[in-house]
Amino acid sequence: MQLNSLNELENWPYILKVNLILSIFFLILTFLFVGLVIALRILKNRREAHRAKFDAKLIDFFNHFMFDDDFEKAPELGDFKFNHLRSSYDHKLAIKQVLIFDENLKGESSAALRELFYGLGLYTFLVGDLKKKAWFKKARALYAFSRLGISVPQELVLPLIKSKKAEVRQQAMLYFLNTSKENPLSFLDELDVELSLWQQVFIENSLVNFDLEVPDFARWFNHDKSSVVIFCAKMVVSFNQFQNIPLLIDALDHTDAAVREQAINSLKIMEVPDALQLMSANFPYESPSNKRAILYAIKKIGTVKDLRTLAGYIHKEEENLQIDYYKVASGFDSEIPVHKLLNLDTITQDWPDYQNYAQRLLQGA
Amino acid sequence: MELSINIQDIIHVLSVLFLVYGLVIISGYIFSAFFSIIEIRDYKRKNNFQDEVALLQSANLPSISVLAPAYNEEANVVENIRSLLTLNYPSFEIVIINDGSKDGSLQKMIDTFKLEPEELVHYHHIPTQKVRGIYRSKVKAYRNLRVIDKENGGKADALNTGINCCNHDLICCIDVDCILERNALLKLIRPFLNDTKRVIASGGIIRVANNCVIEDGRILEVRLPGTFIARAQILEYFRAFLMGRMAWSRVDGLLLISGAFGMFDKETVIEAGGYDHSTVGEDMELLVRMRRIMREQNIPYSVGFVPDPLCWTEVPENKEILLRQRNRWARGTVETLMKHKKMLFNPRYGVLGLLSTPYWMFFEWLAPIFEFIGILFFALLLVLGLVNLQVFAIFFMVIYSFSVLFSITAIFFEEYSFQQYKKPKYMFQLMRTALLEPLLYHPIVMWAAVKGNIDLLRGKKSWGQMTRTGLGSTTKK
Repeated sequence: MQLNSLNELENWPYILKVNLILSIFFLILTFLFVGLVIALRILKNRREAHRAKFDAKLIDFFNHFMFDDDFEKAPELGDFKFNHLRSSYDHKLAIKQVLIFDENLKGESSAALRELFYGLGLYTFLVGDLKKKAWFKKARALYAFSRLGISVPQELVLPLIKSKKAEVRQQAMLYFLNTSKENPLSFLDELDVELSLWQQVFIENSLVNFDLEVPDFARWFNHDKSSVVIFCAKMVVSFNQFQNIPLLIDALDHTDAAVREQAINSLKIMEVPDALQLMSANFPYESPSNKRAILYAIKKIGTVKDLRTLAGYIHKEEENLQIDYYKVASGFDSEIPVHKLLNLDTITQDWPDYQNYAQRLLQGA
Repeated sequence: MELSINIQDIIHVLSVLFLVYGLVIISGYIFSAFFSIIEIRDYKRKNNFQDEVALLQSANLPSISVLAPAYNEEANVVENIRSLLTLNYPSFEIVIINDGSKDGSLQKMIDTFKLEPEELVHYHHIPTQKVRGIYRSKVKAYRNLRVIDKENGGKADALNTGINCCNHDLICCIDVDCILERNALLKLIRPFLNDTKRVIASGGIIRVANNCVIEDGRILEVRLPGTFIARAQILEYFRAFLMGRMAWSRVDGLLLISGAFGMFDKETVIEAGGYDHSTVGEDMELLVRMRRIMREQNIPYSVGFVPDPLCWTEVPENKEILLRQRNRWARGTVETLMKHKKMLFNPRYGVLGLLSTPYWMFFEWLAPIFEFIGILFFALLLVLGLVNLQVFAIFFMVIYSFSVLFSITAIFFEEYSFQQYKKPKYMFQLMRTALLEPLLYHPIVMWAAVKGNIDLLRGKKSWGQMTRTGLGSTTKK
């Protein structure tokens, strides 16, 4: 592999040619990326500067529009829209400011803010986004409409409740919830996918801030999707719907273990001792985590007698459940002498003793 | 003449192998860059208009147990715990596991937080060293804090003890000396909330805290470290997290969630048997085992990854400590791959078997070894006087230019995503580091990896001491 000068490149072995080409290619790409990094930094800095300046302008304009009686609204609105709202980025900044103002305003000012929202063409801009293919534009538009409680034609939003993109689905749910005049959770009827925990939390948060009457969650206790039933079982507790306690008790026999677990926990929090009988009857057939939930339900709303009835159903190999039993029994310490059975300080050391204790439990001692 | 011809042939074959290997590596990196940029873009789009405030108000969020093993951390443990106690999350407990510290860590915690012993009864999901005591504070402000005192058994054993003793179904394993962003738990839990499948783990990006301005356990100003070694590690972390793990997350092939900061579904961890004591790469091994079990049981699951800068850690600024750390990482990688060799090229494990484990084998384990052999071979040629300087220059150029390109691309990713280093001079310093890193830093970590392999063959199992200067003490303003 003898090389001569670069002038005789055509005589070089192909392997060297390839490497040389790759080197040059990498160097060009390196310079390109250095350029991109610098350009990105300049662009972001400029954007940041523009944002700061434009935000100040928006705040000033919004304040005049809403609180200055001498302000000539119609011409100024047109002027601002024509001279300042030029790019899509400007529109986004204006929408962001509207949302910030909306958070702090109520009543008349809030109505003026909506006037501004329509007047600046932000409604049209967002409806345009809603019609676009990009999922994030749809989600963003729904977010703004739902935060402002502004309704858009139903046919634009209804299909989005079944969107493949979870973010769009979630924003569509929140939109229906926040713009609803009667039943904010009617969208649950349409739901054919599971609710994520994240969605449940956001729906709950919107319901907490909901001005109208919170719906009766009984309506969805027979929903196809377990997550919807679980959500309703949680909300029955959050909104103190005591009238739905019988439904929670029925849910103790649900086919899905996760629903049963939520029902146990909800009944525990709502302090329904009547439910303990069914929980205890189900105990031998329950999943390990539900057995545990039942033990802690007894700790909160049951008696030492309820606890003792379960001892015989805790299997020898269910060590963790025995510990739970022990912990719950300790809670009844004035009535059940667990401290006499064990030396608490050495339970880890004296594991065999603990096993004996468990044996006695199994024998119903 | 005969010898010369043979060597020429060998050189030619090796050149072709080098080219093929190089092309495979380049393809891997292009794949990485492509998927990461898509993942980062999508993440930004998902998160640029909504916040986590609603989460803070919910009583229905899963509670989290934050597990932090501590061994001889007397100098910083109190400050670190105070910082952890201020995390934003509606329901969490901090579980500090004192792994048989020989210094006054435990007493310092007891005195500062007014800890009192509580009932020693705890679960025995995973076998561990003996627990000597469990402490809880009676002071309301510290009611989330529990300290477990146990006999020394190493980091994996300490974490397993934490798993046995903690109360909640989600565990977040951290290094006690890491600095977490206030919203770190709120962000890290999002994959668990978003997915309707069973989420077994989620991890975040680890950032370098050296030289940053820190107050009350919080990063106030992000600065570039003063030493070249630490700056080179920033580039390394950009490449590993912003490019590597983001891409693997996109294709659901993530094999490693950093031990410094990761959240796990406790039930799955227990099913998998907890952290493995017999490896020094217990963080990687656990995730691989969990994923393997889920695949073998055909349970639909996912692993999340959050690109926000949530956890800041101190990286070694001293060559000796760096060598020890990388030696350990190399051993951990090999041990994990050996333990789960059944997954390699096995279509049963999908992306994990066909992409992730082969990638780790060729690029993380074998690459430094190949590189080292290449250097030895080059030295041999040099001694024999068979090196053609032009050929050498061309081969060197291709490697060097690609290394620099890769680092510059990583800087671009940082600029595009989170732009943590705000001052323009930092950006140029990082670019300068990218030019020097292949020459001055890379050989150190390559040698550490090779040494790690040699040590493993010799049966070395220890962690090696990882001395830290302490973030709070050096940079607090």
